Amino acid sequence: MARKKKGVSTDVEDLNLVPIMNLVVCLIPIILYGTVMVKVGVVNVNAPKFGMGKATPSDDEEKPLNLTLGIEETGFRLKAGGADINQLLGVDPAAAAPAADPAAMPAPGVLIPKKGDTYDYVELYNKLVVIKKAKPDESIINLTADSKIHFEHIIKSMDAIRYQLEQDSYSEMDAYKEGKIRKDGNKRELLWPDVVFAVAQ
Amino acid sequence: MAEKEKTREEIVAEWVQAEGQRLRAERKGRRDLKDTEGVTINSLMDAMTIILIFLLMNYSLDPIKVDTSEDLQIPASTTEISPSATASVVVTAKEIVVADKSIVEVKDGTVGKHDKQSGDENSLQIQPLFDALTEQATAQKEMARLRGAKFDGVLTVIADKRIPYRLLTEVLYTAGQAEFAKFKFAVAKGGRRGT
Repeated sequence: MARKKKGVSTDVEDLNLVPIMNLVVCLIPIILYGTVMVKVGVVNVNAPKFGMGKATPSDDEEKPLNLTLGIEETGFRLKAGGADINQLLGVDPAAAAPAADPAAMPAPGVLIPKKGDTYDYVELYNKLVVIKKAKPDESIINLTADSKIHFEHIIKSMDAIRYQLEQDSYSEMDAYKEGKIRKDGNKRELLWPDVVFAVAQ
Repeated sequence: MAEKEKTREEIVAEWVQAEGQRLRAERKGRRDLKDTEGVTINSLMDAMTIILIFLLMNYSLDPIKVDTSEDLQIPASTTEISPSATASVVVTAKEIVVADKSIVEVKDGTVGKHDKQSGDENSLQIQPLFDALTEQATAQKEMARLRGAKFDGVLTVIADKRIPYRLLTEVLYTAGQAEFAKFKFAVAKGGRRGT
């Protein structure tokens, strides 16, 4: 009859965690170095175009649209070299670009004024969808801005013009924010994807 | 004598009792100490493991790393395109950096005219940046030649969200002169449209 000896400890010895701890303490700074708290993405743009030359007159019916989005202190301005932007958008030219001084020449293009302190990205999207529907083969948009406009507004504007959302038109900012990009299978439907920077010298 | 022997027995019994108590106390003390040590290292181990997993989940293998600071806050965007290994230029609120070297000082969103081509304030070309980017382009061309590939001329621009459009175009123009023809703007993923 085997009997358990009295006084013999049956406790299992604890693991020695110190070497593991040492390893973990060494690993943490190494991984910390490669850790990013901000996930970085990129936005592609084409090479800048400097100096907006006049389009050469041509008899061809299909002139390039040469659509330009200008970001101004007062809002967005849409212009098109190859077509009448007001006609494309179906707006009255006088109402589209009201001049501060009635005697002065109205600024060309269509102005989308700011709403309070913020740019009206919803209206910009709505108008760009209308132009895209009129000119479905065009994909190039020139982007220009006043010299003091912050880089942040340029990126936000590019976000608004690149992709076609589920709806063609939004009236509320909240619905626009939540709007998902329209997909054709797995491919995202593009609106004006080829952004070209432009500066008038 | 009997009293004396009894006293000795008593002394021995007291000693045995005292020794027993001391040993018991010592053993208990050792056990308490061991328990305390174990608890501390286990908690620490748990904390370390959690930190390690958190860091591993955020570990990035992206070729472009952005160290955001007070002078460099990149704008947020809805883009889903990931960065690729290209030459890069960093434009912060205070300086322009190429290959971890500060090239030009930026003050109030502008570059001083002494850093412009021919000292002309209206020039779009930033001369020290042009020199640094030309050097980068030459190195990239050489690397492309050794790999048997073609120099693609792509430049990633990591810029602070508050820099003005004028400075951005000066940087792009200068890069264009240094044979970089395609650009990628670094942005923070996860931004929301219109905000």
